[in-house]
Amino acid sequence: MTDQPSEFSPADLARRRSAARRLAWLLGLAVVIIYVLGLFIKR
Amino acid sequence: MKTSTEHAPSAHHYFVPEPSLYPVILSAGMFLLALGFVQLLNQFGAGGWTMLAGTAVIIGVLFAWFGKVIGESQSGAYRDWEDRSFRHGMIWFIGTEVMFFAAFFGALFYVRVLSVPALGGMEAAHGFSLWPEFAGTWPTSGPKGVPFTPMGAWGIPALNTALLLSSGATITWAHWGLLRNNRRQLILGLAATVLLGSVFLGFQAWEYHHAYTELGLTMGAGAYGATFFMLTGFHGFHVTLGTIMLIVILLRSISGHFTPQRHFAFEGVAWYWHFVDVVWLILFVFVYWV
Amino acid sequence: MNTATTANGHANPHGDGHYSGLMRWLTTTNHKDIGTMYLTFSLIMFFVGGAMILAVRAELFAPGLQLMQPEFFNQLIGIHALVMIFAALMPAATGFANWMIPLMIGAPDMALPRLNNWGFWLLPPAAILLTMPFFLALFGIGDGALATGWTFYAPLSVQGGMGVDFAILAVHILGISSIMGSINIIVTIFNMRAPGMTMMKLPLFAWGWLITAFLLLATLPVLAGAVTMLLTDRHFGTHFFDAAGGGDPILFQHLFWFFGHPEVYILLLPVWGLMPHVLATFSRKPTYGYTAQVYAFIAIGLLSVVVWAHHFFTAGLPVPALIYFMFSTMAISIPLAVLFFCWIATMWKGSMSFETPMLFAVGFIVLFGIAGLTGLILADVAADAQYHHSYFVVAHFHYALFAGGIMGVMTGVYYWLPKWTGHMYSEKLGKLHFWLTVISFNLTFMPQFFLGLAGMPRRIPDYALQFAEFNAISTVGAMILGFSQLLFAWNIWSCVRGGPKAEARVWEGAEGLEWELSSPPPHHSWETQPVIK
Repeated sequence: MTDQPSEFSPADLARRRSAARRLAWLLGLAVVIIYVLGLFIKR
Repeated sequence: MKTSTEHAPSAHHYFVPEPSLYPVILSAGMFLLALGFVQLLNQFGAGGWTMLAGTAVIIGVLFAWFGKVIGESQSGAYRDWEDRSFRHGMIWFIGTEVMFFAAFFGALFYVRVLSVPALGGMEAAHGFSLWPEFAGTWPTSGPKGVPFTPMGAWGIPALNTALLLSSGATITWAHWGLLRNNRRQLILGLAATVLLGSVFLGFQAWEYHHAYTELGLTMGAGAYGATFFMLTGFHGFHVTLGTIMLIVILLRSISGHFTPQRHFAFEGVAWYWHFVDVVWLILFVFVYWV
Repeated sequence: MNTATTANGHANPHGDGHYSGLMRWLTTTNHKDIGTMYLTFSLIMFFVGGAMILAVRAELFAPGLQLMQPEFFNQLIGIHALVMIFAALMPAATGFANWMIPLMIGAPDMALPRLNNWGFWLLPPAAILLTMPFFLALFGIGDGALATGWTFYAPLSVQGGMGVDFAILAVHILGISSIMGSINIIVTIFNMRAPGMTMMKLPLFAWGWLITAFLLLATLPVLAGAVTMLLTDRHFGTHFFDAAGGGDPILFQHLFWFFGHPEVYILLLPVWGLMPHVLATFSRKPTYGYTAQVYAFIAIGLLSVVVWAHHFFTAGLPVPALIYFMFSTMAISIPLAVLFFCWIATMWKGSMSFETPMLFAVGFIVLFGIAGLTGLILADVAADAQYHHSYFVVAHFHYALFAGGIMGVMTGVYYWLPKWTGHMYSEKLGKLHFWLTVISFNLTFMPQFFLGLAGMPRRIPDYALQFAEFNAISTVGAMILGFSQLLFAWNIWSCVRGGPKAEARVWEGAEGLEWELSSPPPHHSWETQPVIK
């Protein structure tokens, strides 16, 4: 089990935690932008 | 979730039966029965013989399997924990049976409340009807159906209601006997229940004969005939099964099985019997009476 | 899957395998053996059903009739659906339940072990009955399998050939199998939990399955009743579905979808139960909103049995009925949104890592989200008049049942395979399988949304020229999708045969009783129940 999760160090886990958080904010922002853009699209 | 490595104190091991071939054989029997039935309906191969073989296998394996279960029960393999499993299992099994009948009652209510009145009201609603002369009243065999006389409620069916209701009472009386360890009352009560169930079935057979030969009421008699025969037919089939189960319980009682403390098989059969009883009451009201 | 621990010498009175080889599998009463059989059967039938649909996609690669006659095309479509639903997805979920519920709740086995074995062994006969008419037709007997689509709609199915009879009987047997399995699961959950495990400490996977089992008990008998009426209409002169006798073909649709709609949740609830486990494990956080998820399961279970008629909005229902079924259907999106929220909130601020099960879980959330949103569009009565019976519906329910159902099953397989076999699967192959599956899945089904919107009807072997490009893309996607599943089978096979040793707690973030047992667990586990504090 060389590539198993138990190999993650505490520093690794902390890095992953902040990365996941950043990605979540980015995705949320993207959703808001798409929503706002949608308000201006006329058919 | 917090778990602990410490274990429950001295709980007995749950009974897990040894490996068994019965389930596979039962499945094979059901396969033969189904295959034979399709063969018979579509006239290829020896469908009747395949069905017969399947039925023989099923009956044989059911004898062996239930025999094994009775043996395990008598040897004291089942205690409170297993007993609770059987009770839960039987209750939910009866639940599925309720839903099976619900499908046919659903069909009955659908034709009575929706499709037949709609067929009769086509002209009024849409100004057009394939069958303008069709009144849309119940009972009916439909706009193109055969003429028939519907089954009256107050002859045999009312008598049958009385029979099934009293059979519910006799099995409860038998249960009281079992609980008080009065074996004579147990056996008499069960025998009376079997008798009442059998007489019910006899009347039902006579009623079918009467319907087919004198009333023109057949399965082909439109919505009425279809719902009448499927509902009463499946009910009769369940009464037959229930009667067979009662006979088994009666024979077991005669051989001294069951104690006032432990008699799941008796209660399972009793629940089943009350279930067919209740189905009959609904059936009597909506199929025969109103 | 060896039985090292069964040969531990002490005389075990509780059903140890005294058989080996084939007899072990025919006679077993052990929940792990039975779970393995369910899962193996499911994998085999997944490829059978997949092969059928690859033939269909090949036919649809270009306009015109290339490979087969329309009759055969119809047979492939209907049997593909029945095989995938009843013989691939449902057995996979039941296999999970058999393997995992006793381990998760600290039970020594399933509550009714012999019945459990019967439940499994009913499946192969039913699968044979379902596919047999294909082969009988080769010998000039009958005109092939069920050609009505899996929905058996009357009057087409009343007029159909003997394939309909085979399918009816197969459905009866499949129904008995599922009912036996469900009773067993309900009884196990109610009666076999470890001391101290209250219902609100029950793992969510078991909760999901509990609701599934109740739905099966409530709806499968109705399907059995419906196909029985069909059988008597076909052969015994009844007029349930014939207006000339006072019946109604629409009655069949009501009865069928009273079963058919809950069936969707039957296929999905086990997956929704499993998702929080996977997401929590790989986010290294407790599940978010346990209680909310339990109540969402219950709410979805209750709502699912009162919304059936949205499957036939165009059949001519009265307007009040249309409005009722539209709003009740849309109401399901509320508890479903609760589930989505909980899944996402479980990942929020987690230390996430993306092993194969986690990839499948995240892919599931995204793609199943598309299924949910397109479902809302279909639930709109006015819009449905346009989309009904088009490829839009096909795309929608494949996002629900492939991305939601089968990818959910794959999540579970990768998550639990090390627990079952004691070996790690190949992470590299697993990730390759995930990406191939996700990309080719979207390549297959995304174009079908546009085909449907443009008006291409489903279940027709030929189509107008303007649909050609998207159909070609869809077929290419389907071929990649189909063949990349061989990687899945290969990965499972190699994992069963060997591989790096898996620890008891395979994933270091995993919580629950099942991870306290060795991998693979002993043949008889929790014979003495653990106590939950």
